[in-house]
Amino acid sequence: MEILIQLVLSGILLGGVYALAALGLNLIFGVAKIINFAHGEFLMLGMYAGFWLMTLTGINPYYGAPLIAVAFFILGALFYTGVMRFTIYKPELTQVFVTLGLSIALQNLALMFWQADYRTIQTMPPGYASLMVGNINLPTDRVIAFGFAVAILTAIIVFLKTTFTGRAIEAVSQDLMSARLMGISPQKIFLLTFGLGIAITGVAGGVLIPSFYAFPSVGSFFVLVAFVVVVLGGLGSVTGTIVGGLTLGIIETLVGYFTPDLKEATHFVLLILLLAVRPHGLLGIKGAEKETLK
Amino acid sequence: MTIDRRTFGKLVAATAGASAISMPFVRTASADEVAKLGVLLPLSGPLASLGNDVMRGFELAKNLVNEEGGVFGKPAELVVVDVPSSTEATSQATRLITSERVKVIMGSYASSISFAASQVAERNKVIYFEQGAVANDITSRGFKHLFRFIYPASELGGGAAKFMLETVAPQLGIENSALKVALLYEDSSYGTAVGESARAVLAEAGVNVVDATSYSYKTTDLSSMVQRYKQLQPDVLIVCQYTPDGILFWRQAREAGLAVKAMIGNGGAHNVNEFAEALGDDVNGIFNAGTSVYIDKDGLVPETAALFERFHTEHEKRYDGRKPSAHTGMGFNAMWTVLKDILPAAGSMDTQAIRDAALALDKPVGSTIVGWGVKFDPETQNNTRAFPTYDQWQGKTIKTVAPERFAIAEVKAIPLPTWGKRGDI
Repeated sequence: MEILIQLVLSGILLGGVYALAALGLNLIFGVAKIINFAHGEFLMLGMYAGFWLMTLTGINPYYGAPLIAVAFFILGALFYTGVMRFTIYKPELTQVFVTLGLSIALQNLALMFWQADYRTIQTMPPGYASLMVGNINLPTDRVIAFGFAVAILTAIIVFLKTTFTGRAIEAVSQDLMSARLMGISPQKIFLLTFGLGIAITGVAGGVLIPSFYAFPSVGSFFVLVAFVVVVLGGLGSVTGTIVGGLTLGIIETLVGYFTPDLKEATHFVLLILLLAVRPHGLLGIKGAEKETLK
Repeated sequence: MTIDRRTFGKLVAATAGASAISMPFVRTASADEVAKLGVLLPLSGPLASLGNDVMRGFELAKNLVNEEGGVFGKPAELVVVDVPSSTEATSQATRLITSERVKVIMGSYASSISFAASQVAERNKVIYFEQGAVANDITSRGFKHLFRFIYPASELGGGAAKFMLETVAPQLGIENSALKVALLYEDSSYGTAVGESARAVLAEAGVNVVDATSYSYKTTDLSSMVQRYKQLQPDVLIVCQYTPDGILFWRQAREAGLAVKAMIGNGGAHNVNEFAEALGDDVNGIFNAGTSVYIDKDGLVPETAALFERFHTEHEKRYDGRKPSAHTGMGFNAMWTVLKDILPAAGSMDTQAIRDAALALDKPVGSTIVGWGVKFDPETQNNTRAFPTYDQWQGKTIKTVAPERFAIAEVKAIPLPTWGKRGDI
């Protein structure tokens, strides 16, 4: 029994990591209907940001998260104004190739500047690597990352539901034409959404670096999982992201314990099943998977 | 498109003209005798870290040789292609052969890449020297143009298992039949081959293999495996991992307080500095079966001992004080042997001459900077004088502990002290 509790808790913590890694991707998709294939690379940049922050200034990325958020908000806004703005009403293929191209460019820039070495940091002093609750152990870094996931998610939901700007974002995501008629400027909303989405992704990278490692193509390790989480939880649904992340985390940990060889296959079996039975995801809006901006 | 008779005539004329122009060029290129070698390595993508290590070894050897006058009196040239994974191996090998016209390819460290690329080389009768990929099946295909410097995986995983039986188990004081061992390996051809050969040796010795598990090195979580081991309580772990998953596994083992009496790695993660940097003191005590450039140089023949020194000083000088890894050492060794011994003996870049020279090469154990000798088996074309060395992390550096001829330290810390008490190993 104890081992089951341990596994489910480990799964929940892993789910938090997955949700954190996927949130920015889903936010951008929900509003601008763009699937950002460079998402993994922004996560990679976030990891390097956390690494360099700690190595060069000694600031623990957990405290430095606001700094990373601001820097990545600006990066996201530049990403939108410099690149994505030109693709926004274009066919999906254009968007796919632009973001895919950007992904390859970012990977190779990282390789050029920082080489292929695996880099990581240690934030917890030795002996504080995990919290023990009875015989259940919870890795400290994962618990903190989970805390960040919950905090960011709550903040985003509160922002979207209660503020004027947040509701304008929701309006654009639901019906672009009506939003426009109400005097909302979609361009501004897209700019804001890209800024927010990339900022969340940057912070996610920053708080994941203590339990992972940064190298130029680390994004590819996470991006597939992020896609599965987003599809599982529901395209465009912020709450769905955490539900998707937790579901995947728990199932993966249980399968990994009982039949380790099938661990990696779980993602895709789950994805296939879900796409066959419920293509809009657990909490997604029916038809969201077919939506593009016209 | 339809081609009428007149257009067809023009096409024929154009093709004939083009080949007439290109033919003398081809002839001069092969008569010129520049040692132009293709290099095929993962330099970007998830395997890039060790790929770049090997590349530094290749480069350093080439530069040192060129500074001494090169090969055939001219500087040797390397044409480098980046192969992030086995998917690109075939096309890039073809490119090296057809458009760069290299007669020799140096590869590739990752077994899956080497397996695919050497197939193309064999088909085109281009010599392929593999410096560091261990999977058994690479050289079991009867290829005539493929030579491998490193020992096969069966000697690596099997060697790790024997080392465990001969050195670790007696110090633990546990009988083979009572010893519980778990095997964990990444699921590409490298890990699988190593894992299976270790399992075979253990089964023969009557050891209780409580678990044998594989996983993808691209995984983002291994906590479920760690939990599995917490339940199964193996005495010894024998693992075969690349760097990222190796770091992840040992970190998660620390977080969960997994207690094992010894862990033995098989190259990949467990002999590179990044592994130690990521884990700090907790790297201490881990064993590694593989290759090392931190061996006792008194075990080497005098000439090679001097080269060993030179390799270390030049590497640190030319690469910003960076200490060479085992992979850099193996890359250096292969390139140095090809440029210094094989090509001069062949006298030209002719495929048959190079093959004959390689087969005739006979260097005793201790005559290369990683301790090996060189003698290619006429059947398999594996290097019969390559063997794994066994190392242990002590004081956050990797130190060779066996075989005795190359050992610079004694085996310590069996059984492993608990987490947090590994600082003074």
